[in-house]
Amino acid sequence: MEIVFNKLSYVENKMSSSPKNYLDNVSLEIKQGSIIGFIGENISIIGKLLMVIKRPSKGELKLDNIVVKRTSHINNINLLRKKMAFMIDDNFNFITDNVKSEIETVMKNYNYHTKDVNKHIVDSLKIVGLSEDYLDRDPNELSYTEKKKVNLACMLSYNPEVIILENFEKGLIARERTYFKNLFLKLKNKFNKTIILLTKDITFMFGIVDNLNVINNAKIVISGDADTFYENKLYKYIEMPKIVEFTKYVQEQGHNILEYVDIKELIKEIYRNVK
Amino acid sequence: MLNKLDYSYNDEISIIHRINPVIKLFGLFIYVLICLLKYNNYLFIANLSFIFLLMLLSNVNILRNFKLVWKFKFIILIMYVVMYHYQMSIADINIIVFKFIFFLVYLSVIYYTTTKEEIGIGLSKIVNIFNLIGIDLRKIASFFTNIITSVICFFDTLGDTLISGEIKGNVYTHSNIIDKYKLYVRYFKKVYKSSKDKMKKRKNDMKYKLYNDNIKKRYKYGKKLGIYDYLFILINIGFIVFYILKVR
Repeated sequence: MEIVFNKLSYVENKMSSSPKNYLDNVSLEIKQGSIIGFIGENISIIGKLLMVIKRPSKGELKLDNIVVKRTSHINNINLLRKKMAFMIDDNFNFITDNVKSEIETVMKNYNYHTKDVNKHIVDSLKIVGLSEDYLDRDPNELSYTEKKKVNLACMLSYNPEVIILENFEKGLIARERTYFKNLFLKLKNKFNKTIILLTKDITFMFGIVDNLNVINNAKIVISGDADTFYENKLYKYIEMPKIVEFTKYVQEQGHNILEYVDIKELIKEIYRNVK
Repeated sequence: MLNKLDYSYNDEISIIHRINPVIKLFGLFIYVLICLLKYNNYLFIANLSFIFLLMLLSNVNILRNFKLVWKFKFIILIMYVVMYHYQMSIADINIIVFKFIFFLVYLSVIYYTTTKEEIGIGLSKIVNIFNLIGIDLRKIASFFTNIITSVICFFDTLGDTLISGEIKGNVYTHSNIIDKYKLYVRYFKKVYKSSKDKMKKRKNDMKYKLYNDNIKKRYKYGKKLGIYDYLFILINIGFIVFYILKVR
């Protein structure tokens, strides 16, 4: 699925004394089979615009052949939404009483059919690192991280082309972060999925994103590939991660060290150069 | 989906925001009274103009004030059908419907320009007039504030659940009234439970912050009445005087 933002703006409370500008004249193209990272303020709106929960105030959004404008009419919205999945941070309201029926309902809503539904549900749970034991549990009674994983399982169950995740790294332990980073890479490389990460933590995007966009004052101020992580201009807007800070310090001291985004690779490099 | 400023306090700087909540509620009471009394063209037009003036002076988007009316569109339609069925004249039906619409608008103006704590205190002060058994005013204020907070909490949770459901394929924004109604029915139990849990958490939070009914509550713009408060009272008394002298 190809996504194009064409001079798109989104303003809330335009008529009030304090209008809130989320996006201002943003133009962007997202190609199928890539991982895109967005970092900055009020980026949740990107997910809501892509899912057509909110409409652009100005400009247009192209989702394959469908053009979403402020007033355009979309026939059968679920056909469009079926191609996408969006996880909003802190909004895990489950409607059914157990995990199994929750996933089943989502599959039914999006008209996704498979031969063995039960196996498909169990597989969806396993992908996100949950066992079969969770099938009969009430999703509303689970912990924050478990709810997040069940939500991701719901999203993966109907096999969307685009997966949008807001602050997904929040609440995950280091091992789980690595697991999910690998999972996203696998989804991209093996299944040609597009993954859009809306986050405030740049370290979560290290090593996985193909394109990084920094949003400041409703505009994209920096857009670039994975090498952008080592550009000084990026850190005008966000806090510099420790690994970048360390590498830059070592380089300033006159040592020849490569720019790594993986801490293990960096440690190996240091070992190789210790004399 | 709801905008954050819809059906909640709009923090603007305006004359209406500064008016004492008790006086605003008094104004609403006078409006309801006039609506229930004998109809007069001049009084009705003056009342509507007064509400329009309140809307303009409140610095809140005028369309936002009519959002509550839009929510009641089917009830208004039912009102038309029922009154037509009882062979009332079209003019009378229109007058009753307009009275109802502007009651909702008045309610919106008060709600958008007054914080829920202030409405709580305002209501408690009005109720306190009829307080014959001597319940503490602060307890009454707390009771009203809790009721308003519960309602807000319920609708917030409903909004979140609708967005959550929308993402999971339960279309709300692009569906018809019957599907919307079905969704409400389906979500009601969960939303009620969830908002109840949130209120319990709020209660605990307040307990740990050592909040109790004895804490003195203050109006945002102070207790003292200003020129606009007196003007507001005078206009409303003017309506009543006009009714007594000319209409009755």
